[in-house]
Amino acid sequence: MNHSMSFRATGRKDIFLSAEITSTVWGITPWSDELLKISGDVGRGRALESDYWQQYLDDFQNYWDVLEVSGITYRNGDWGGGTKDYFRETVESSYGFEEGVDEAPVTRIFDTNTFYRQPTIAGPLGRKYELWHEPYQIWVENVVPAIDHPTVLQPTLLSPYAFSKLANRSDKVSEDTVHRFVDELYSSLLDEISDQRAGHVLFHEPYAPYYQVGPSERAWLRHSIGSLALDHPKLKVGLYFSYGDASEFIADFAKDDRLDALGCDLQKTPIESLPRLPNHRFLAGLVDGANTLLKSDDEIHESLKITANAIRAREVSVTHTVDLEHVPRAYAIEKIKQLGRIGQVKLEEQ
Amino acid sequence: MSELLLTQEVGSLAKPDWRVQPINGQPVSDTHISQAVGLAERLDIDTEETLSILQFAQQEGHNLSADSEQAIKLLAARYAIRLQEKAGLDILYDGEQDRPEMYQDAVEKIAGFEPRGRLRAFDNKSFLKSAITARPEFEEPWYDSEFLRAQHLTSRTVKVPITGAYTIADWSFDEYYQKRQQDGGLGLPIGEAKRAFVLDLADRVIRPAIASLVESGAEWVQIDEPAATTKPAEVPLFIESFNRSVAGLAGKFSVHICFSDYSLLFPHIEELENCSQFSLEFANRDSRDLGVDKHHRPAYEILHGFKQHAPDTAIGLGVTSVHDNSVEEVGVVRDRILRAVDIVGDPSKIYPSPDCGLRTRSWEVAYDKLVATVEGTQLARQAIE
Repeated sequence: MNHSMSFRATGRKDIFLSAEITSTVWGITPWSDELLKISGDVGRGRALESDYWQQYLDDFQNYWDVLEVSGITYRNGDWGGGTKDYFRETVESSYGFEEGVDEAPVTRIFDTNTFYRQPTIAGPLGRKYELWHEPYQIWVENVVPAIDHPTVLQPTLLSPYAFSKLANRSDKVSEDTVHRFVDELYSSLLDEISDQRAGHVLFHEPYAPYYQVGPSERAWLRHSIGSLALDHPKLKVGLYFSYGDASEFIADFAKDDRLDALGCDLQKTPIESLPRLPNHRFLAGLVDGANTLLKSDDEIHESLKITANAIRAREVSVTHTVDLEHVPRAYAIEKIKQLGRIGQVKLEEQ
Repeated sequence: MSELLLTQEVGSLAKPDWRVQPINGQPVSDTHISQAVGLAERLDIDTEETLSILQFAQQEGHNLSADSEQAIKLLAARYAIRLQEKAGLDILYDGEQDRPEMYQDAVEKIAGFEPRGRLRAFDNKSFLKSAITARPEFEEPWYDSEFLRAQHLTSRTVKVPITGAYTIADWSFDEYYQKRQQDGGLGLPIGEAKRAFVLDLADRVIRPAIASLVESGAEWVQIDEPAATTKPAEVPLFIESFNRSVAGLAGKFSVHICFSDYSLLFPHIEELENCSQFSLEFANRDSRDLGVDKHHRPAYEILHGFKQHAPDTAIGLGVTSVHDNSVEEVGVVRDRILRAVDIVGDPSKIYPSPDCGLRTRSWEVAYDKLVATVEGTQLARQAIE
């Protein structure tokens, strides 16, 4: 259901200026045409692996430059612009999954025309080697030290609850056990992220809103996210909901001060159904990440005002509704620039 | 042709290098010729014709003539059909050799769309996605000549695939229906915009394209709707668009859906009109072990729902996966079919097939998978008879 009409009328007093306004870019970014081509050429023996990695690094640098120039406050430094799907890098760098993820069933990501290879959890999960592959490591060593405000680095991970639900499991592994195995794996992942100078981590949770899961499932989600946040005090943990109405899920976490940030796709969630969040940073999914249509800055700005007035969060961070990989790279860049403009305009007004 | 358990393809095959590269500006090479001749020998096609066409095209270098281009396209269609005939399929098409890709091909034929860029679909596979920027218009027949060519090339039953209205809309960006009126759009909220978009496509584009095919003699049109079950709330919209796309037309119409949750179709498919078959992907999500019980064949349990809600509609039964190179054991194919027959009850309602189009596989792998489909079907027939 679409709730874009929610923003069209408000009689509330404008208290917008009491909230700090920032911007956030998270999730998987689209591959460039060049990277897609070289990747295909490598598979057909027409290009070298080194050509692929050079293009990957070029795209990575270009992406970071866009974030920097746009003035985005919270940035997914892990990028994901060469990632084949939500799972692949984590699965390939971990043990406990069935072998052969590259030939695992192709499975649709909810209502999109994007797919993932569904991994199968076969036993206890653990890390074989660190998540960050070589090109990222080079970037971390060469670019990150030049950043004078490292807390803006906010890698995105699929939430452990969604990971458990979207992966397959072998007959030997019960559903309850899968949740425990995945939480243990994520604890190791957060240790790695802490070591990469990231001050924040954002969990993306699409499963619960898409399927509107019931109370017992919501309890798993709360337990999983809350425990990971508690066990990693150096990281500020955020949780972003997409692909469905997130009202009930945001309400579940509204009083949970273990989480630094909460947010959702505001095309799917009516703003009037959300609770006030005075102790959280709120990620307002207002820029459509699934459509090339670029709304005017004024229109987004107006929606942001209404959101800030309704949520009363200490900080409102304007962001995109879903992963930007669902629009071509040139449009993703335009949307990032718009997010930067919206965030900066308000900062200046304050 | 046995009337029991007829085998069928679903749509696309890969395009050989000797078909793609010369038409994209590369000269025909000796490698192209040897690949084509090698394939001709494997498919029992006269190599003289292949040699004659490609050697003539080779002499043209970069400046391929229109005649050579047409001859190469015809050759590719002939090869694709022959590959399916040799594998033993009962119902086939030309492997969509003239179509770049099911979505791109459709939107390039519709006035009102503009390309926006490439998007990754899975792994490193991508497609060119477009935006609707004006009200869509049907301009001229889409596949009439393609169908007539295929019919000329085979004596077997021909089934013509066409991308459906819901999927075209769902896979497109909307820069018209949602856009503000003062900026040249309709200014509709997202939900209303989607409905208007889908039904405009059904009424103004897809139905005229199908009507034209029927007028040209096509007896069976498969409407490809892989997006049909991706947005639960919009399944009724898909049903409405299908019904409007075939309303009042004489002929046989089926629908292909894949890689999604089919349970979302229930009970809505009770409202489908003039749909003779659901062609569905199953093998991708099934076990690879032998066995005909529900524990060995978990993917096919959903057929109970189809039997309950659409008992008269046939099933195009995906028994071979299209996203990996390992060729299924024929015993597994047989068991998948027997499980489906056990649930559906009537073997004449089961049409074994690959899960989807085989365009991401090489022709060698595609051929082996089609042979596995046919041989597994033969074993299933023997078991039933």
